[in-house]
Amino acid sequence: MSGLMSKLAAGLRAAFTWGPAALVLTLAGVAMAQNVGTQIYDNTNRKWVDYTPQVAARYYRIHGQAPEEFQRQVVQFRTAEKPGTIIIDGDRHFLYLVLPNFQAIRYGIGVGREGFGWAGIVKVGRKQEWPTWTPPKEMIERDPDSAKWANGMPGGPDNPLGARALYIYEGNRDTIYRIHGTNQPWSIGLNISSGCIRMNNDDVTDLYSRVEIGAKVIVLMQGAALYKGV
Amino acid sequence: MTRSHSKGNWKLGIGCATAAGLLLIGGCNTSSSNAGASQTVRTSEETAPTDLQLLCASKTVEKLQISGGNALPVSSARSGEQAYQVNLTFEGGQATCIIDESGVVQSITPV
Repeated sequence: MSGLMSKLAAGLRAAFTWGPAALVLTLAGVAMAQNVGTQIYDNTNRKWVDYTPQVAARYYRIHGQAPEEFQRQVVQFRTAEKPGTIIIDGDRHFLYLVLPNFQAIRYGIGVGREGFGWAGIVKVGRKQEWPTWTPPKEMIERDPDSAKWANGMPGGPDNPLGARALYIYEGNRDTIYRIHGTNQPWSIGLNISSGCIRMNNDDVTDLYSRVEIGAKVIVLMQGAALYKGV
Repeated sequence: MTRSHSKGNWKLGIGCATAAGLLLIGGCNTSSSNAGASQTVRTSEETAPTDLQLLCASKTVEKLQISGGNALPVSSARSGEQAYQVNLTFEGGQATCIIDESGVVQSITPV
């Protein structure tokens, strides 16, 4: 148990320093409002509490998974967007893959922490199984420990990008944002990344198998910076 | 006899409690895109359901004949008891859309 505790503690530290993307973006309409966060009902005290990284880690340690709402499920979804479109609601921490007949598969996600969230209309430009992770220069400056991976960390279970990655493009340009798996499955439901959308490895593998390159991606996030081109 | 009866009641009580517990756990599940009364997580601020925000976006594109065909919801909040206000941005402008909980757009106003 103490091994798990120390892994979670290390994960919490890493989550804030090893986010998989840096913000080297041209942003328009910057409006840095307070992020909308998740709250969870505390049955013991009968009140809603903030779903902080510490609360999330404890929940995951006890239940072995994120809360039920963040589990993969088919939901009704009224939209004019065509099947195969990905819709990300960063405020509610849900990613929807649109299906026919006004349905969607809903997955739980983790999103950008304060100041790292974004919104826009982009597309899937590339897909990769067990992707290599290369920390950007800014990240190495923030966290010297990441320097050892300056030339790329090979894909695998300890890689922060997890089992699969969908590379987000605007036109033909890589935005540096990805929808990817994670080695920190307890972090689903949190504002914790450097702007990437993280999913647990089973979910990102499922999404990867269903999504085609070129799929439209709509990212909603209240008060976040808007990706140029919207 | 009395002891056996009392033991039976005790077992019945446990059974009922278990069933009630299972019902409560079952009530925590949701298969709707909207938050239900039995939810275990929620957002710190209430925003419009994702699909309603997108319906507002597509209706705005249609009504205002937006070039490029894209409008992006940037914020939303409850508007009255059974509707939401969704604020949208698009190339060359912004708009406000009011949509009710059943998905009927009540108004679209360029800002």
